Amino acid sequence: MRVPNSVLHPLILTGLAAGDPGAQSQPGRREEPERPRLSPEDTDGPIEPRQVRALCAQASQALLQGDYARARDLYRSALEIDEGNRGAYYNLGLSLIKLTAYAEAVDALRSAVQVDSNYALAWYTLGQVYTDRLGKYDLAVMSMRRVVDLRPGEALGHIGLGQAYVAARDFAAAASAYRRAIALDSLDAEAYFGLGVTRETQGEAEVAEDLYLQAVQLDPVHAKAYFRLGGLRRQRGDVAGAKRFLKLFERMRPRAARISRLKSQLLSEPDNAWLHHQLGTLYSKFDLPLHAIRSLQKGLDLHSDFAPGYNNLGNVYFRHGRIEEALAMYEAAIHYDSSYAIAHNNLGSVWLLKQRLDAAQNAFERALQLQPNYAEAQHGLALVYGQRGDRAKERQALERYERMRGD
Amino acid sequence: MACRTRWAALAGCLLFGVRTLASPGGEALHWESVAASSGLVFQHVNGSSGRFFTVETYGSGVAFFDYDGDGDADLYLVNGADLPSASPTRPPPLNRLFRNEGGGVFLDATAGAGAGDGGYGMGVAVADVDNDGLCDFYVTNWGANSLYRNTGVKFLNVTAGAGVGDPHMGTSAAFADYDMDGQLDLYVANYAHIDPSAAKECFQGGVRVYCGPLDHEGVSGVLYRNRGDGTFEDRTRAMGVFTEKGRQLGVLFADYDQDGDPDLYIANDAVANFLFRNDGAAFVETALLAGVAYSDNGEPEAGMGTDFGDYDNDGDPDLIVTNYQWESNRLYRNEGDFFSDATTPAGMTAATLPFLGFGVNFLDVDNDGLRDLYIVNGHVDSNVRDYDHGASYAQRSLLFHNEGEGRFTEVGLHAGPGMTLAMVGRGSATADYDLDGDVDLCAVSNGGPAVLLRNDSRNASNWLQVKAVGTQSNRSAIGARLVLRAGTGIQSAEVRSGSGYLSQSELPVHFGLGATTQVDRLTIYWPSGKRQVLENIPANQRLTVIEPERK
Repeated sequence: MRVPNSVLHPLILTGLAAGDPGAQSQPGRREEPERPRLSPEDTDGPIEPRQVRALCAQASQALLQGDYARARDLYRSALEIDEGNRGAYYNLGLSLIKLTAYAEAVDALRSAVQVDSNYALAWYTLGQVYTDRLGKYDLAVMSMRRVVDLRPGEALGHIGLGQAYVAARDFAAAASAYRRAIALDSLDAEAYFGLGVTRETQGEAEVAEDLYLQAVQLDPVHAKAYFRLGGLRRQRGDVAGAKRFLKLFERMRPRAARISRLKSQLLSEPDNAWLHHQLGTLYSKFDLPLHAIRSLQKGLDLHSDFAPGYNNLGNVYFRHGRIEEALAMYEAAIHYDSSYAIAHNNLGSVWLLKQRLDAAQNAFERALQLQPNYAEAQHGLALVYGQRGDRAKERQALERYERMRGD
Repeated sequence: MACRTRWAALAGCLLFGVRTLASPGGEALHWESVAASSGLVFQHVNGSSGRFFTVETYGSGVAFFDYDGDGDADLYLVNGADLPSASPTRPPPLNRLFRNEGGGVFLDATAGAGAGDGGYGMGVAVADVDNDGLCDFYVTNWGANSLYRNTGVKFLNVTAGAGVGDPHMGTSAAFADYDMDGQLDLYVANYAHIDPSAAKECFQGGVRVYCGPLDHEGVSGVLYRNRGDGTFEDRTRAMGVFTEKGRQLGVLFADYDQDGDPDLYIANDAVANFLFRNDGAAFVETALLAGVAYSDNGEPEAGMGTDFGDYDNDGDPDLIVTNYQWESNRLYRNEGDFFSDATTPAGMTAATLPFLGFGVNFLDVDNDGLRDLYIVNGHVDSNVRDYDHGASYAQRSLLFHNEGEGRFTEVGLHAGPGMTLAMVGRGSATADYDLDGDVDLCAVSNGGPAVLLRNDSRNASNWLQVKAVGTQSNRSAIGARLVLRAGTGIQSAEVRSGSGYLSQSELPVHFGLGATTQVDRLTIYWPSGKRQVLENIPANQRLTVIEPERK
């Protein structure tokens, strides 16, 4: 028996990660807000004067809401009181990057690393600005080398160093940095992509193509890799192949942009469960179940009582036929939030699929108790009656369902 | 120059006087700003009133062309106009035509020539539209565009009869014979629907700024086919070039794939650029496949000006596009029927990031046989320093010297006072206006004066200028491809209408020859399909070549 799609509730995130600074401002958003990376150092460290904390909190809020000018001004005010606040300098830098005031952003980031020379995130961001916007490649290499010194075991720094070396046209050093990144994390698509760019620039088209293909295998929405693959095929005279990859590039470009924004936020907030949930939801929407499962699971690892996370992970499993795992996830969601109507409804769908009609009925009825106008649950109930051959109840349930939809 | 064929009394080639090269003191590359001393008094009016109407930011263009057929390049400067809420300018701003009197002097001939279009002017393109031997010109406006026909006595506005008065926000325009019938057709780029009365307010860093390209709906450009009877027909949709996805600024025709017909490249602001390949029956948009839609990472950029030029002397036209500040300009190398991104290998990434580029021209500044690059810069926000201390409204120009092997070096700071001048640069054009054998420049500053840069570089290199005159092909020879062999090397160039940003360089083609005193062979591929070969041509002359009657 096929369960109608309408029975399965669409992916939805109804909760927010505890402690997430954006939680109050972004209730129930299905799409990720475009938020800059926030320094977790904002509220860490020695006890700050209350006024500074208040200013930083307001500034963070402004930054999250996209009011970068206000964030900039508030961070500056905070720094007038506490000129040793590395997090405030870093976030001031982020605000200024958003305002495309790169020269001033560099000043702020440099102040951050002057306050704390071990501040890897600030060095990394500084290196990025030098590489991408200011064309100061020697400084970019120096900044990224500092990141690598501070965090030798993290692939990200090595990738940043590779990018800086490519910009500085030191391809041997770039290749070495990317290879180190791959050795540290063999699943990081960006490292393969970067090594591909290095090889392509050195004229090794075939090697580059293999590396780009590995990148898209690891990250099927890696638009830049498709773009490069299209270019390589074009150079080779394979017009049909070029068109195929460039079509994928065009399809993936908006998706990659959204994912990239979230990934970039996760750089500075790696333990933010909410961001992992959002990323997982996005991957699921783009039909990338393995990526979705990984991100949603990571979110749950960080925030194990987040019921919507289990529900969403259950939906990914369900859509890809992993019914037992879906069942476990819906039950976990209900375990952590017994009043979670969506999870009850989805659990009912699984029971229905497994022909456990009593259990399905209970689940749909529970969903309807919790949310009396829940049309999908009502439809599920009608299907249960239909499966039992109880036509009268089925008709009655369907009529209610139609009324709910009309409402 | 170049439209008036009566100066070429004989078919074949005519030799103009051999000149000795100027060799003033100073740097090897040396540019003097000579507008004031040349009589070039022009003040661009953008109508700015503090209300941030987007149209105020685009500036205007300039054209070098020999309207009076006396053998030297005159100047046409496009002007804006007053906008609602602006204090009226007295006298009202007009486009200006300056006649080259020789001796480096220009005289304002606007009124007598009837060339003072009073619309809110943007761009200009020049060609002998009716094949009568006289250069006509087309002006794009924010509002209805205008076509001026040169009668030999004065210019007549023939827009209505010709049917080319597109009413949108016209930017760059270019003539080309896309259907190869001997009549010059016209492409007019349009930017967006910009309605000052409905202007929304935009901010950057808490500061009021002009709204960006994506705050306005895009408008399709228009392709006009010349019927040959003084009228044009709109063939935009029929030829496959209708699209509202762009924010069109720079426009060029060039036969990039060398199949004998002109293709169309359009630089778009903040969205993917277009390359319309001419397949005879229609144009096919192929920028993505050809590698010229995006940056090397697949990102759309803020395309402003664009130019084709064979910088690597391999016989095909390469492409340059100027972009926004903190994006690099982009140099695309022609690989046959597609392009590779040569920006970084050429050394142009870091050098162009801190500038907001507009006008751009390939030109051989020192006659060494390698095409260099001139780029005019200037920000769009007059208050940019209020939100970005690393930027400035007026910016200096960039001069990239071609070192060969695909590498360029930016030498603008060491090329005389003219090149270090800060301006709010927009359109730019090239011509050897003083006929001394090197290429000079003119640029327009948004809301500021015109800048005339005389090339006083000290060099002993040789040169050749070629004025092509079509007979079966269009009279301006637009689309003619010239391939020159001197010594062991080749150079190539096309006669082209429209160049850079909103502008038009002179039609005669300039080649630097270095130490070579004679061109071994000059081959001209005429739009009609004819191929003409000239051999053993002495250097240091302006040569007029008339398309032969027979193949």
